[in-house]
Amino acid sequence: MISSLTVFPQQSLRWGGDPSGGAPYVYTDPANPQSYIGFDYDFAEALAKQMGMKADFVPTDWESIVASLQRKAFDVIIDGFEPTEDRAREVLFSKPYYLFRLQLTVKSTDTLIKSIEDCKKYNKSVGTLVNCAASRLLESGGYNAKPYQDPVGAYQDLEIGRVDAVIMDVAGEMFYARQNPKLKSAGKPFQTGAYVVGIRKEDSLLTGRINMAIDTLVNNGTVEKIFTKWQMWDEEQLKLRSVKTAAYDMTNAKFNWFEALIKLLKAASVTVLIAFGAMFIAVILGIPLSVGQSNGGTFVRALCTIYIEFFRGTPVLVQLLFLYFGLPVIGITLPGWLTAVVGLGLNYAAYESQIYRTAFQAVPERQWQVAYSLGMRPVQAFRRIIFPQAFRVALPPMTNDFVALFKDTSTAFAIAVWELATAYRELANATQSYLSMGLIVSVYYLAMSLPLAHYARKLEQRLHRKSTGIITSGAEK
Amino acid sequence: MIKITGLTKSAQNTLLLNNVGLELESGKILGVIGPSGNGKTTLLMCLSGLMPFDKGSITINNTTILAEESSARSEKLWDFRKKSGIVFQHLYLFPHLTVLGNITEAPVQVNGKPKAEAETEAKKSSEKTGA
Repeated sequence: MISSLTVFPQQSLRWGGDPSGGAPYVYTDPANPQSYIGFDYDFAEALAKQMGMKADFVPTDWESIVASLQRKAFDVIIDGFEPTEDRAREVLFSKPYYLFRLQLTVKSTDTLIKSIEDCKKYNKSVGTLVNCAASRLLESGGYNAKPYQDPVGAYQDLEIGRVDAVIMDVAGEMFYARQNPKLKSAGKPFQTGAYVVGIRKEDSLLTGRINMAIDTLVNNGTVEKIFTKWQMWDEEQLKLRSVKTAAYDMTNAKFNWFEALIKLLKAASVTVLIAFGAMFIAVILGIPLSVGQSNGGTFVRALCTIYIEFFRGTPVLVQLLFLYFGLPVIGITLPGWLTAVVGLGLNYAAYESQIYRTAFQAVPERQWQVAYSLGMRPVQAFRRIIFPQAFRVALPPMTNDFVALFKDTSTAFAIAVWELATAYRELANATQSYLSMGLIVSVYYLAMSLPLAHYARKLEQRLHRKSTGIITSGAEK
Repeated sequence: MIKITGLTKSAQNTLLLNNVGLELESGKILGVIGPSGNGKTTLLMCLSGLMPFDKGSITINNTTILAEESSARSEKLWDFRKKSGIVFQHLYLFPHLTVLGNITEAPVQVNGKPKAEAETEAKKSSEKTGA
C-alpha cells in the first residue's frame, strides 16, 4: 500500500545471468525471441516483487560473471550460482533458493561408465561447464576435465564422441540431455549443492533484504510454484525451509601457483602446436589461391576470390564454431585442436594468398626478360630470379601474420580447446585475479612471439646483406 | 654471322617492323639509328629471342628461329637466347644478388661453370673495368 503511494520511481534490482545456452535457468524465449524466460527469470521477478523493486535483467557472460558483478554491471547474480570457497572470497551469498544435484551423462551405447569414479578409473574425459561447482569438483579430483562454454556444445560433443561423459546440474541435464535417445544417465543424481544469489561484499544491507525475501518466497510457496512449473520440484527442496546459510564445502582446493605455471606451460604448448600447424596449412594453401586468382581462368579466378573474400570477411571465431559444430552434421568429426589448426589455416591462407600476389607483382616484369636473355628457362628464372625477390617482399607481412595467428589461437577457447587463453580464463576465474594472471599469460605469449619476430628480422637482414638492393623499374623503350 | 629476313612484327594494330632484312658478318659492328618509336628496341628484342615476331626468320651462326618458333617455349629458343646477348637501356641488376652474384649468375646457372672458376674470372674482368 505504502509503495503505491510513494512518488519515487520504483527501484530496480539489476540481476546478471548468461542467456546463451542458459536453459532452463534464463534463456531466449523460442516463441518470442525478444524476451527471456527461465526458472531464474521467474525467481528474479518474484524476488524483486517481494522486495518492492522491479527486476531488470542484464545479460552477461557466465565465465566472468563474478568479475562483472564487481564492475557493477549489475547488482546481483541470479544464474544457478553455486556457493564455492573461492567465490566466498569475492562475493556474499544469500540463503539458497534451490537445492540442486549433479547428473553424469554418457552415450547410450556406453557400458563402461557407471559413475563419476569410473571416469577417473578408466581415464575417461568428462565435460562440464566452465566455472561451476561441477568443474571445481573435476579439477580438485584430478579428472580429465574438458571445459565448455555452454551445455549444448558439451552434449553435442558427447554424442559424437569427442568427450566420454558430461556432468551437469540436473536442471541443465533435464533440459538438454534427458530427451536425447543417443544419451543416457549414468547412475543416480549425486552431491547436493545450492543455488544462491551472489551479492557484492560491500552490499551486506542488500543481502539482508534478499534473505528476508527468500524466506518469505520459500515459506509462502512461491518458490515451490516456480520450480513445479519447471518440473524441478522434489522432496529435497523441503530442506530449504530449515537451511540457514548455504554450505560450500564441496571444494576447497587451495590455489597452487607452481601447478598453475605448469598448467599454463602445457596450454602454451597447445598454442604453439595450433599456431605452427595452422601457419603450415596457410602458407601451402595460399600458393594455389594466389596463382588461381592471378592466372586462373574466369571460373577458377571467381572461385579463389569467393574463398578469399569469405574467409577474410567473416570472423574466425564464427568459422571455428561452424567447423566444430557444423561439420559433424555431415559426418566429419575432428577433435577440437585439429579443428583449430584447420580452421585457422583455412582462414590465414586467404591472407597469405594476398601477400604472395602483391609480392610477385612487386617484382618488375622486366626481371623475367633479363633472366631469359641470359638463357634461363622459365622454371630456372622463377627459382633463381623471381621467387627470391618476391620472398624478400613477402617475408615481413608473413611474419606479421604469423604473430597475429599466434594471438588468434585464443579463439580456440570457443571450441573447448585447452590452449593458453582458455587456461587464462580458467585460472583467472579460480583466483579471481584477472590482472596478475593476465600479466603472467602475456609473458607466455610474448615469450613465443618475440623470438619469432627476432628470427624473422635476422633472416631479413641476412638476405639483405647478400644483395645489391638496387631495384630498377624504369620504363624501357 | 647474323642474318635477318622478312622480319615483321606488329602489336595492338600498329606495325612495328615491316619486312626488315639484314646480313652481318662475324666481327662487324652495326649501329642502328632512328627517331624514337621507330622500332630499334623491338628489333633488338626480337634479335635476343625475347619478343615473338609475326613473319620472317632470324639466324645467329647456324641456329635459325622462324616466326612460329619465336613464341614457342622450345629447346631451340633457349639455345638461341644463350647465343645472343643484350645490354638493356636501363640498369637491370638482380637486386637480390651481390654484384659478384650478378656477374656469375648466368655462367654458373646456365652454362654450368663451377662457381669458384666463374668467380675468379668475374673478379679478373672486374679489375679490367676498374670496378
